[in-house]
Amino acid sequence: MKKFSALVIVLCMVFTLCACGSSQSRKADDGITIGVVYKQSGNAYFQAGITGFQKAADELGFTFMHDGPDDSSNDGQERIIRNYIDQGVDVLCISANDAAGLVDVCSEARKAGILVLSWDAKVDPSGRDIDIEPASAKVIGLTQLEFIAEQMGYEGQLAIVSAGATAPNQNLWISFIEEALKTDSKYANIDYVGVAYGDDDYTKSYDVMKALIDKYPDLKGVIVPTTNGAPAVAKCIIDEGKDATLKMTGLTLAHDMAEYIHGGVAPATFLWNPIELGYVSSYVAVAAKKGDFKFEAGQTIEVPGFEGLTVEVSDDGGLILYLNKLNKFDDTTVDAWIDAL
Amino acid sequence: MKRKSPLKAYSWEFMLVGLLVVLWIIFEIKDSSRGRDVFNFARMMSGMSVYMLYSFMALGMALILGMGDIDISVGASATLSAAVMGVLYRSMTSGGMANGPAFAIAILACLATGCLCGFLNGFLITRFRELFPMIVTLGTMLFFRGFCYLFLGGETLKFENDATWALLKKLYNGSIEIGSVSFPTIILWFLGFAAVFYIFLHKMSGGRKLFAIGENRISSRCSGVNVDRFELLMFVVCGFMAAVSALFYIGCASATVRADAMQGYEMYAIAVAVLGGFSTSGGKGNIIGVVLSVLIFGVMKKGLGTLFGFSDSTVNLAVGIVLILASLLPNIVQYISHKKQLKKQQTDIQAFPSGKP
Amino acid sequence: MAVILVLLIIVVCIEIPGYFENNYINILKNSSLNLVMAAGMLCVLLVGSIDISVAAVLELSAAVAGVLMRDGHIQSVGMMFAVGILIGALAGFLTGVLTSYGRILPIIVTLGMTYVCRALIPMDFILGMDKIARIDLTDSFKDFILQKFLGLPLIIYITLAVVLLIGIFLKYTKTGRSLYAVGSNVKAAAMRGVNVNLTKVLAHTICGATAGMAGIMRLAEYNAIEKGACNGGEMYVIAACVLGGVSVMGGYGKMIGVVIGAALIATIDSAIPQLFIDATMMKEFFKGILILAAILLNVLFQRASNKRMKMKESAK
Repeated sequence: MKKFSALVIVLCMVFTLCACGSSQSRKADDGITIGVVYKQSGNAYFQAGITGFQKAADELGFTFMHDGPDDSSNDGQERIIRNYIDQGVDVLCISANDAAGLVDVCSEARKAGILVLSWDAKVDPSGRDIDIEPASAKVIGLTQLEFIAEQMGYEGQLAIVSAGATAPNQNLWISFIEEALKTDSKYANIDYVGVAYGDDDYTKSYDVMKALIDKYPDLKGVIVPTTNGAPAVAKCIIDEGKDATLKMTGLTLAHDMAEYIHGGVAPATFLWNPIELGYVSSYVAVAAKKGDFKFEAGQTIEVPGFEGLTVEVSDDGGLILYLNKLNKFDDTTVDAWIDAL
Repeated sequence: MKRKSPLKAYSWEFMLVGLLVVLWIIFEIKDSSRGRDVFNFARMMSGMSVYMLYSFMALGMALILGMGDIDISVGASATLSAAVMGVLYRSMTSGGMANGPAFAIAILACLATGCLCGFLNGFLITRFRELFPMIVTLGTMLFFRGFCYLFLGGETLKFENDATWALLKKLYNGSIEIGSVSFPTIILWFLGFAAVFYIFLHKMSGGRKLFAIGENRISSRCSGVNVDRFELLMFVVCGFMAAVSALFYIGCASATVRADAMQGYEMYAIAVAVLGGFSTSGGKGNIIGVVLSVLIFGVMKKGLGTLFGFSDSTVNLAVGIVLILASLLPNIVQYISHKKQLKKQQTDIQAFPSGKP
Repeated sequence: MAVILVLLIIVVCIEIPGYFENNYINILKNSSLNLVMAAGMLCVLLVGSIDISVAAVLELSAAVAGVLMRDGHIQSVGMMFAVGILIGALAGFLTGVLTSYGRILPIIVTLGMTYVCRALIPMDFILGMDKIARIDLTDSFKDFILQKFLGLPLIIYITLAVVLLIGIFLKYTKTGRSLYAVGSNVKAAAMRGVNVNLTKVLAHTICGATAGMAGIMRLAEYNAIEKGACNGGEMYVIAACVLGGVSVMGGYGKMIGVVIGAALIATIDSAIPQLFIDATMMKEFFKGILILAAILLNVLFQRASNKRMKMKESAK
């Protein structure tokens, strides 16, 4: 009796669980299925990317699933990728938490005949077919530097508040910024104080910015190349009463930063359009799956609204496709973007 | 004292088997309603490896929980072990050492680091009895994690993809064909370790000592058990198992380590051990239950993820609910049977008002 | 305990000139969130229980309140706090019922609660993939936190009020003292007519309510909330209590100790980024060491003082 009642309860429990889930299940049809994997669930930036995939799906008629790990971990992404392989997706679009860490599972997927695209954050060349990036790292880094330098009048102290110390994209951009600061005579009067890491976390970025202000009270400019850190830094500058002398820029969403951009603490910020990134990624995925697009340098692809998308060989030896479009959010343009980004 | 029937002694394990079967049937039904054959034994087995990484920690955790302690630093000590291994290997090979011996030394160093972490935990816990093990290991967790950052900084440590590392990857990702089903080697390793733990815990005096300590620390000290030394030893074993997990993790992550790897694994390990029948108050549990619960978590996560399209965080919601319900269930059952007994007693008393049965 | 705090502050002041003058308000501000939660945690620890879900509850209540404000259902500051506290209290109540009446170990229940809360936030009916940003909040809510009274930010007064309220409740009311009774000896407490289960539920509800309140305070202070925003925060809450000399076994602990513990952690937190601004990796490392060392030192001090007391007694 005891055991029976236990079993009944377990049964009820499991059935309720499944009932919750069945509404979410997606049926597989004959068309192309794309599995989109991003860095972390509950991240507004990737929501925008998914919007792009959705837009392309409506036009091209493929189905797609999307998920990211709860904890932005490498093995969480591996888990999701394996699930997608089992579900029989045709193409994987991955924004990797760790370029090197996913090589094995991606190679397995390719062996199973799945095309592996990385978008937004690359997978190392041995694990991917192609990487799709908004703009070259150099352009992204130097655009921010040039803007903030102009705001600072090409002199004074400059700092960077980055995401995690392990973030590959940010580290690449920062390396170009640092190189330019060292070599370009235009920036000779800028006193670069270094990088602080906010771990892509609001609280930590805020605290780290506060510490920076305490240590360098004469700070004139901050670059924040991460969407989660930027509003924290802006808020901190205002809270510390430095917004008259200290300006910031960075890569941000419009929605997060609109008030700060209007308020003047961040005269302008930049971002590519993650919607477009998702949109182009899906076009590439579908074209490649249908055989209209081959993975080799010099190939071009037609995407509505884009011109001259050409595959190049990137610095790491793999193939890469740049959108080369960077949006600037300033006092006049930001409001147009609020609902989208 | 009435002797427990074997059926009763294993009732929790039977329930877990029941749960596993029920899950399996549901997934099978769901699967047959879809076009693709996603859910079958072979696929399940080959896909298990990524859900097995914390299973080794869970075995170590089972020992600790059996004694009524807890260790929440296992995730951090595993990362530290992997970090030490990587740093040592890199410096040795760049110093001109051959890959083979360097690899062997690095693995030994990894296991030794795990033991050392466990030793530190055990030492602090037995010397500072005023503090709950949870607090001590909370402190050491921050400490070990800090060490990882010190060693690795922000970079991803990447091992050269040579033959020795391919071996480690094979350890994690390799498989052995039995019939048409390919079993990942990680499952066999896990079952091997589980067997050793089972013998130790349920067939040897060590296990009796362990449960006695979990039941009542003072009385087992009075009966001549060197509690401190034994506890220390168990923490070392737990640290060792964390280091074993670290080895498999490196295989999983394409031979890379990062300072923030394996964060939160301690909670998975605790959840697995608790569903397996160990309780944080100590004194009971069975390794068979842990093995079953590793399978249940694996099957559940895999099934919910692939068949029902649950997102990663929704799967976690299911895990949380199952964890609470699984702990609540035996209490409810016990309560009901207790009530029934009371009622029976009452009716007995009413039937014989004179009080003579 | 106070000795360690003073020592630490002195060391930090020597290392960073002008640290104390610039930072004492910041320290108070930083410690406020942790302190509010630690005050609730004190109640839970007193009855011999523990709650590791506070950080997740904080996120959940802030997310729900934030969404309600974004969608225009709530305008006023008071309502925000009411909603946040209500959600937190509800979560705490559930935890309390499961631990006391359900007889599940608190660490398991709260571990499960953590999973559940964190998984609820990205559900479509709460935050989905979105987050709450500054633009979603009303001006009155954003301004309220900036208000100052006698030179100190309002948030410090709120914190003090919570701490005093719970402190008085624990010390001077019968129900409050029954928390101590349950923690030190369950059977004796039950014999004397204390409803043990209800007391435990009460303690957990208080703890949940403070976590919910901290969620609103956090939303007000940072103007943003998203999933995982306070990941690992529960550890610092518990650490603050332990540093304050609260026994994890239940029955012993003072509010003043918790206040000092929280201040100590805030000091470490604010000093370390300044000491190691260029070496982030050292930061994590030293934070771990310092907290561990502070906990152990605390025990050693206590042992020494116990020994001295015993010596005194035997001399008499």
